[in-house]
Amino acid sequence: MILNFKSLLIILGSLLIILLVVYSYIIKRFNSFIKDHQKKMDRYIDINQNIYSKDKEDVSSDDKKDIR
Amino acid sequence: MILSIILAILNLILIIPFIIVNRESKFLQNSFYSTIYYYKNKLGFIVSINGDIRMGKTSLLSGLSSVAQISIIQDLQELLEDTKKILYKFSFNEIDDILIDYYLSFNYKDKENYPDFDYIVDLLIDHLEIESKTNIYNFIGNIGSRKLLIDYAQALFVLNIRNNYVQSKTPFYSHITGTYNLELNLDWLKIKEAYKNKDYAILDWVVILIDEITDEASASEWQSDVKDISGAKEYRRKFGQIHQERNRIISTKQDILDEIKKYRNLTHSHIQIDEKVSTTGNYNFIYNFVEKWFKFQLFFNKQYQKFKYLFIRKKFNKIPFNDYYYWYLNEYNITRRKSNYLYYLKQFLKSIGYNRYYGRILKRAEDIEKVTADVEEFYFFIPTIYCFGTYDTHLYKSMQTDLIKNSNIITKEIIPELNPKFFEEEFGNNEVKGVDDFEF
Repeated sequence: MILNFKSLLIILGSLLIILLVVYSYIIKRFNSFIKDHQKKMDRYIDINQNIYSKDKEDVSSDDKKDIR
Repeated sequence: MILSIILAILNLILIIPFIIVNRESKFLQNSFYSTIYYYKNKLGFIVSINGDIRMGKTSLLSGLSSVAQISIIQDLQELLEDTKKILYKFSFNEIDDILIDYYLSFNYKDKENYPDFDYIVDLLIDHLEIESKTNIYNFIGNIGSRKLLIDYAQALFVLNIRNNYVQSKTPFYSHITGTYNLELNLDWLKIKEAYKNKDYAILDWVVILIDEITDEASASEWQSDVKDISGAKEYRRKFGQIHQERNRIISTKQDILDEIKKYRNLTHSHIQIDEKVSTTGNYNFIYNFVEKWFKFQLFFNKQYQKFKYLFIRKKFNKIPFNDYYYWYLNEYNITRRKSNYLYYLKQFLKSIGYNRYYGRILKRAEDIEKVTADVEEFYFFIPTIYCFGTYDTHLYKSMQTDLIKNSNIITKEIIPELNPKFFEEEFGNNEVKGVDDFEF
């Protein structure tokens, strides 16, 4: 009985681990799918994250003080 | 024991979504297949979609046109396969090569170059030196082998070279072929006039889309041409036979009475949509979950920033935290990047869904107002991607810009305090109203 119970635990635990791995794989793939699409669209409409870094460079230190 | 029960429950919670998603997608897929079957085998060659405003007529028109395209492609492939089965001694590798090479050597933008399949099949028969003027008896009827070859050549051209199955006046983008529609002039439907004017270009193997806005035979015109001098009614009456049951017409109408009275015939189906279109199978819970997760992340980020701000306050001249946080969000563009992600996520989930239409098929004009009428009900499930965003519903949008640009005045906000001078407007100017300059 004790052996059976232990083996049940092992089966259920391993199933849980497999399911968690599958879920994390699906979520990762799905997330990267949407993020890839975001990047692709950024390229199409010519908006990169560079625009933000450019803005940062353009703002002089005096202006920054004013903002603050 | 308790541990095993907890593990079992956790496993169940994780397995159940797989089962639900699998079952639902199977159900929706099968429903879509049965929609194709219904469209192919139960509806007539001319389908008119009727319904109140904002019920989803245009989206059903788009969806059914995609269904029609799928059914046309299936028919074409069936025709090719059947021909190969019947003429089993012919080498179709050779025939296909010859035909495709021939088709690719022309540009199909001019009328002169458009393939004449009779002529092409003659060339083919001469080239291959085959006997083609035989009848093949299949225990039911006779099929001429020449006709088979002509149909084969045409089907091969349509499937591989033309690759376009929609004719419409309103611009329509097809997700099946990835192309815009072929042109359509609604005068071509008036076959007698079209023959007289040599103005006709409706092809075989197409689905013709007629929107109510672009339809000149709409409700306002339904009593014109009662004797059918133009040939529009005759074309619709003999539509199935003229095009050998290969073409379809789908039109939308609000005024079903006129439609049924004007164009009632054996191959015309009238669909009445009773329920507003709804979408299903788009798993909105994923979107809600991700949205909540982002809010959760932002909340913790804010707490962290609060804590961090305690140490860097002096750098920022001790401005209030909210101002700092506002600057921080804009500086690192956090919320907008996340909302962009959510936008694409929502659109993606929308795109994998299905549109659900419920309605009935009317057989007689009298059925419209009868509750106990003999009607056939239907449920259509069509992928959302085939229904939304394919049809240009604002064909006449340039009218507004033309009007505004053409005009010399603009509109301004009124000031009620300035009393308008009515009498001055009426009698103030000395211009004489009307025309008083007559010559006899």
